[in-house]
Amino acid sequence: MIRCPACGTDNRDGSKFCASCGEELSALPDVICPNCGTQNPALNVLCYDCLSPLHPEEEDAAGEDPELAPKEIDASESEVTEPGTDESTEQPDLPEEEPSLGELVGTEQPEGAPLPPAEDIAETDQSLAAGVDGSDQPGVPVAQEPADEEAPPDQETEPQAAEGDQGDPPESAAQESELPAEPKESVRTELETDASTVPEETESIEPSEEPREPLDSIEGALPLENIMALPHRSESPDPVKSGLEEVERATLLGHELLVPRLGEETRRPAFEGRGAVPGRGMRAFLYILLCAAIVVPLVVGGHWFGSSITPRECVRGAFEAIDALPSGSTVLLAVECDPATADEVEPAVAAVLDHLLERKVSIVGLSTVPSGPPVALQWLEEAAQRAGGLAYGTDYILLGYLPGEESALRRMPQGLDVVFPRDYARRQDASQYLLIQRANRLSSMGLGIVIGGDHVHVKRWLEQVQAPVGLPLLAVMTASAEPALSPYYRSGQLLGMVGGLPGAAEYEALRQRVGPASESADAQALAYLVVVVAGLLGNVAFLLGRRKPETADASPERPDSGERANG
Amino acid sequence: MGSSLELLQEALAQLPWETLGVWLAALLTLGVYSYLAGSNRLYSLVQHIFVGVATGYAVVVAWHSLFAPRLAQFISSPGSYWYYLLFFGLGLALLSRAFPGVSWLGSIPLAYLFGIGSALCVVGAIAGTLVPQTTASMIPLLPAHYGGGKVGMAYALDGALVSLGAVATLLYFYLGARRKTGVGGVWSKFVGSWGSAGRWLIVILFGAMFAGLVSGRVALLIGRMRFLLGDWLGLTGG
Repeated sequence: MIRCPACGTDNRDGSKFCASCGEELSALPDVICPNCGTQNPALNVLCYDCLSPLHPEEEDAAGEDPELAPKEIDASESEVTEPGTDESTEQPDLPEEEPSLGELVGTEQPEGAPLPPAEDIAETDQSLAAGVDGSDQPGVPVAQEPADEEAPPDQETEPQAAEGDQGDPPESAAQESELPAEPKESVRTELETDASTVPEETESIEPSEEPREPLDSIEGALPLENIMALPHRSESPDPVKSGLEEVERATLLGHELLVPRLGEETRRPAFEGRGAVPGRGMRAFLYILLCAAIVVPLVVGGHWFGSSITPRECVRGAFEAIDALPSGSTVLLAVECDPATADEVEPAVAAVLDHLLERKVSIVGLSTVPSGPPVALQWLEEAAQRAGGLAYGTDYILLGYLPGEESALRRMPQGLDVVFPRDYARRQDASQYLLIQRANRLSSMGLGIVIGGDHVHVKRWLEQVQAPVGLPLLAVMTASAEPALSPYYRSGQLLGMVGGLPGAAEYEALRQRVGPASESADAQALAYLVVVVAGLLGNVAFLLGRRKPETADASPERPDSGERANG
Repeated sequence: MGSSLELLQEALAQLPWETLGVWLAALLTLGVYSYLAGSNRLYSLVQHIFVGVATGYAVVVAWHSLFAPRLAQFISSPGSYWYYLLFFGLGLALLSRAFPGVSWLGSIPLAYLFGIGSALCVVGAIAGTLVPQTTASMIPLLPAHYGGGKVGMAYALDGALVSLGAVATLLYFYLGARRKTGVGGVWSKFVGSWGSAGRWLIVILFGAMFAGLVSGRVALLIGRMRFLLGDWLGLTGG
């Protein structure tokens, strides 16, 4: 938060003007101490933490220039020892005669708050006198160079307000003092008369009207992006050179823009305009609608959207790979999902396991996810029960959790009884089971089936097992993993893919059975319909809310849009 | 004492655990969905239960699947499994991270883990993704290769789209200085325009993944609704 030196209001970080009184919060960025890294107000000469000079380059330059340095030092001494004789010591007095910026726009100002102490100004003049160029420019922009090089980018882009007694930068006070009353009045009058044209001004610099890149929404993903977005130092506007009138205009414009806009912002309804979040009532309505779209078809039943499901090529590939397994062969089942994603793939897994057990294929289960084994055991036991009470250890077995990810998968060719000394369900020596004795090696497996909660686990099996060993693989995974794994199916590395609930329904259709996925087809279709319609309506509302301020005369623009445009 | 314990075991065995489990699961499910109405104490309670149970279960699984079997192996035949001591020592060194004086010891197993993991990832990515996917993107573009006719033309067109799309996507990540004049300028324009097509392909991929994510969440909701309506309330076949 940035505290306004004039009225004490806490403002958002990065604010340029006070939201309450319109006071300019900071004209100059803070300076980072090159010795200890402490953040100092812009006009400090010495670090208030370690007393190191904040601008050593200037001192070095002054020391190297024998003609310039003594002259400047003498000048500074004379300025310090003879107050009132130079321009700088007169500066604190002048603003008392002239109204402050807040008073210009009719805002109350605490007495003396914007003005820095005289000692600070004397110090500033001392630093200016010791500067390199010796010109009448305030030394901060020059002295800012070395500090900026070491300062992190966020400190450059978001200058902090001066703290406590440091208050307003003295040069702004000096500029106020030099401003004649007539130009101020003229500027103010001009701004008041042009108040109606302010939205048009902000519209003209609205960044959203610029052509948007399709990946703009993920900007900021790279750490260098923020740094590259900074303006070049030589191109950055110099706040001192920007001119007296521009400072006045910016201050008054900020006051005119921000204060009424913030008031209107608080009165704005929740579900209106750009970037607004739907209200609680709207959200509750959507939740109830989605819930009803799922519950009603499940309770009522029936095939409202037709019973014909056309299996895709990848699902057909998985079905044919399992269908081609000879009876009595063994399949490796890697359950790489946790209970959080198990519900989504469960119908597909049930269809595949039923198909395997119907083909008299034995199953060896394992997992590299800690919470995978209990899910796998439940699936295997239910499938064995549906198949007519198959025996654990002979028809199926669950070896359990295998830690180590890549390195663990690389050990698989050594033998299953080496990697898994004991099984999961009975915690007995794995080599005692007939199934392990028969199919201890990956080479003795007819197929590998990876049940993936995401595409990462499936890729890991492809890279660490399928590539070196050559074990044919197919994947049963969540719908979100399907696009990322499609290239592996096209390249032939995956024999087939069954993705999510739609894939499960297609697999059930290939087996000509009605399972949980087929029974949920109507609920799926209705839920998708609700999601799509709600998305379309939401986008329409978004676009309408976006165009509304452009057409309405009195419709305000968001205050931050101007900040973004200026930034 | 023994008889009372047996009585307690009998009494516990006669409890309808399955029904209790279904009710507990249903209430926990409703507790999670109560977050839709806003953050509340019930949701926080369920959240804590879930995290605690998952952590505890993972510890138990790790003990039974990893530590206990190997400990038994080592105790039964220390000579054959002497190298377990080495890994045990590396594991203990990881714990030294908690003690500033000897925390440097933790760097050894960490370096080992990262080194092995990185090497396996790189090798696996080359053998399992880079080479096969590069090979697979080299598709014959002549319709005659696919038997000619409309089918051959369709396959050839599909192959051309895949190849061009792969190159365009790679060009989107071409990072270099953009020249404005000369041959370099022409090349920059070429890369820029083709790369923008690749950018749109990436956007389409993101859209497909997001749609899959929505589909997955709908499937999860359907699964929970089937549980609540079927297993808990008995309104459907379950």
